[in-house]
Amino acid sequence: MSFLTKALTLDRRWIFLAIGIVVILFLLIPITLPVDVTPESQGVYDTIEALPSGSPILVAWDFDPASKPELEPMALAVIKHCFRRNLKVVAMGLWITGAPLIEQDINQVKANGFQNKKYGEDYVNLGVKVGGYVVVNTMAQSIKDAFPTDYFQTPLEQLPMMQNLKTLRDFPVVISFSAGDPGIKDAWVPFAHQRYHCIVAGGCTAVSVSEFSPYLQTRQLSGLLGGMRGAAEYEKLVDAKALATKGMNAQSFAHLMIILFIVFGNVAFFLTRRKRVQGAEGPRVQG
Amino acid sequence: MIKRQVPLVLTFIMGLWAVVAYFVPHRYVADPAQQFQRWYLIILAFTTVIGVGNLIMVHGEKIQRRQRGWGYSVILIAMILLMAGLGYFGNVQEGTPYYWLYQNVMSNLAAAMFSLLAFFVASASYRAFRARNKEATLLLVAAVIVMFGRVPVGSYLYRLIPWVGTHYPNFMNDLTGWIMNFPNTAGQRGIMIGAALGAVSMALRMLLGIERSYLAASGGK
Amino acid sequence: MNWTLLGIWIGALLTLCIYSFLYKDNPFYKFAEHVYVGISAGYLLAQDYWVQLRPNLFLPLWNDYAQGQVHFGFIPAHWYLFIPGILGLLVFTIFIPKVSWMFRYTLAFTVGVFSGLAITAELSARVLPQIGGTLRPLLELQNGHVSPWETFCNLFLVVGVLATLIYFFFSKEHKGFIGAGAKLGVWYLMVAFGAAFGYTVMARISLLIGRMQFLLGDWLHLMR
Repeated sequence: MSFLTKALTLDRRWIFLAIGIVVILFLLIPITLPVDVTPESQGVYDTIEALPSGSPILVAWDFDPASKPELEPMALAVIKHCFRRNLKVVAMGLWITGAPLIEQDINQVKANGFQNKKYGEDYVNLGVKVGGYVVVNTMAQSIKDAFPTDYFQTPLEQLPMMQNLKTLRDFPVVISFSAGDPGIKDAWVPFAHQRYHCIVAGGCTAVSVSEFSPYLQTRQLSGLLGGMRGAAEYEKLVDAKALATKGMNAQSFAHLMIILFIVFGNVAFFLTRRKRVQGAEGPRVQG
Repeated sequence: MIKRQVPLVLTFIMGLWAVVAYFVPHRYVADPAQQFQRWYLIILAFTTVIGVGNLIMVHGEKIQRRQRGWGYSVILIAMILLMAGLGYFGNVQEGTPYYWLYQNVMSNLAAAMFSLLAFFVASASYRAFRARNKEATLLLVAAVIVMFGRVPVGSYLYRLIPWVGTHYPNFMNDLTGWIMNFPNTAGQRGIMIGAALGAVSMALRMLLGIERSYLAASGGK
Repeated sequence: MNWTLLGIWIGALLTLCIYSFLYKDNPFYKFAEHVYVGISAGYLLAQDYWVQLRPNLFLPLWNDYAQGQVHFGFIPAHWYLFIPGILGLLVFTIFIPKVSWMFRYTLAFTVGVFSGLAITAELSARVLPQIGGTLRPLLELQNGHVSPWETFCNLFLVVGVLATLIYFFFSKEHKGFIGAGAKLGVWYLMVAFGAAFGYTVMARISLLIGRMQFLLGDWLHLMR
């Protein structure tokens, strides 16, 4: 069997090993390549930056632990930006499996330079509610109808910050970190933006980026952070380089490896195909 | 009539009310619509219990019949009871055993399960991604440009190319951005409009009682 | 007992159990898989009670009785919450074949609400604005002069959307003008799917990077 044929029928476990080694190696090697900020990520930053200090902002954690590597770094960077701008953050989520992540992430940001932020005055965690866009539409008339209590079972009337925040329309901006449905596509853009005229921006897993491009072009989304790359860009914008920036190194070389796999696989395929065709034609008979 | 017609009429009334409430903000229309949405959120909670109950029934039967792998079903049911028990009788906040299990077991397992996909996508790229015809070649070229252009090393290597890299340093970023903003947007928009019209027609069919397959789930015809 | 350290070790070992599947299916993987399904189901049950049922159904009724807000001595002020409570309980009739038809009332209610909201949402967010976004000027001006590049891009987008829609129109045979349009639509779709594939690869690799950051950083302390 020729080398090319052997290469084409390689046991996939060798490919698994190769990709694992590349990722581990380039996580351990401390080189950092510069990340260029795209207009889409700049859009999210500018949306938050344009809000006056003290404005309320609704931040939705629409993801679960499976999507943490892509969405948690951007959530941390955005919350840091919001706290720095003294915005009043109301946190919530539409994914029941992501409920504890909200408090976990906010506490992580607080522990790094924002210990003065007070619960109930500077930020509130409403927790999660299952129901997709029905939750968002319910919040549009009354937040209390959807969330009678916060994540800690405290009635909303007892939270000072929520005295003036009764409906979704009280929030000029909604940021959603969306791992799929429910999220940006079926809940926040159609209802919060289209029906109730909130500015919607956010982040999504890289899988959804191409799907959300039409919303950027129509300005239904004012900005979008795409996957770990988007998170790294936002970390650069808020000057808080963390996990996403470190991860981009391994991401870069893993992509290069996969491109090499694709190119090599195709070259080997076409070369072996040509040999097979030539072999099938046989020697030319001169008459 | 009570088993077939009344549910169909109920679907129609609820759906029509939701549509009318979009256009009529008067409280006699909007307030009941709001109330129906609150009820929807409550009803959804019961359906979760059904899902878990079904899971317990399936694995319980496996244990009862001592089918192959029934030991794993014992583990599964034990974990359900443990986690649900800790959550119901304790609390779900930070610092509780429930939270500890979420943080250290569930969270890690979920992330690990999904991270397996990275290996399979690498394997598929090598073994199955072939430029067999013009369309597949176009797909492959677009994929390679996006994969190369959206990582820092792509821009870095491009800028090392003599003359082109120095005179047009942002070409790689701009090309990737153009692909996303124009051909990709055009294709995705066509899909989006088509899918949305399909969803609207399906929703209308359900409201008007033409599509009744959802009622079959309750054991009826 | 250092619960944090214990948790990290358990998380790391379970991760390695899952990764053992890459070599071949084995009891360690099966064990971890069943633990995951079981713990997720138990998690859902508990969260369901605390975030959905308790604040939206039980607490309002409980508070009415506790604070004496009742009519005729026994009907609570939030009496209408009994309706979704009953509709929710009807869900359990699916296990009793004789009365499983009652579940249809719950289904009818939820399908009605969901579908009604979906109709206006789909049209207002996905159809009309997207058509509006496609209505771009076919001659783009910049500083009073025609900009060739912007004009080309607008035309490219408009033609692309129309071609993709023609491809999905199956009521007429794809021959002649329709066939040419459909073929062009396929080319646009191939670029869109290629871009989607590229981003999908990025997403999957990111998930692996996240796990490796946990194993190398939190568990083995090899990362700085």
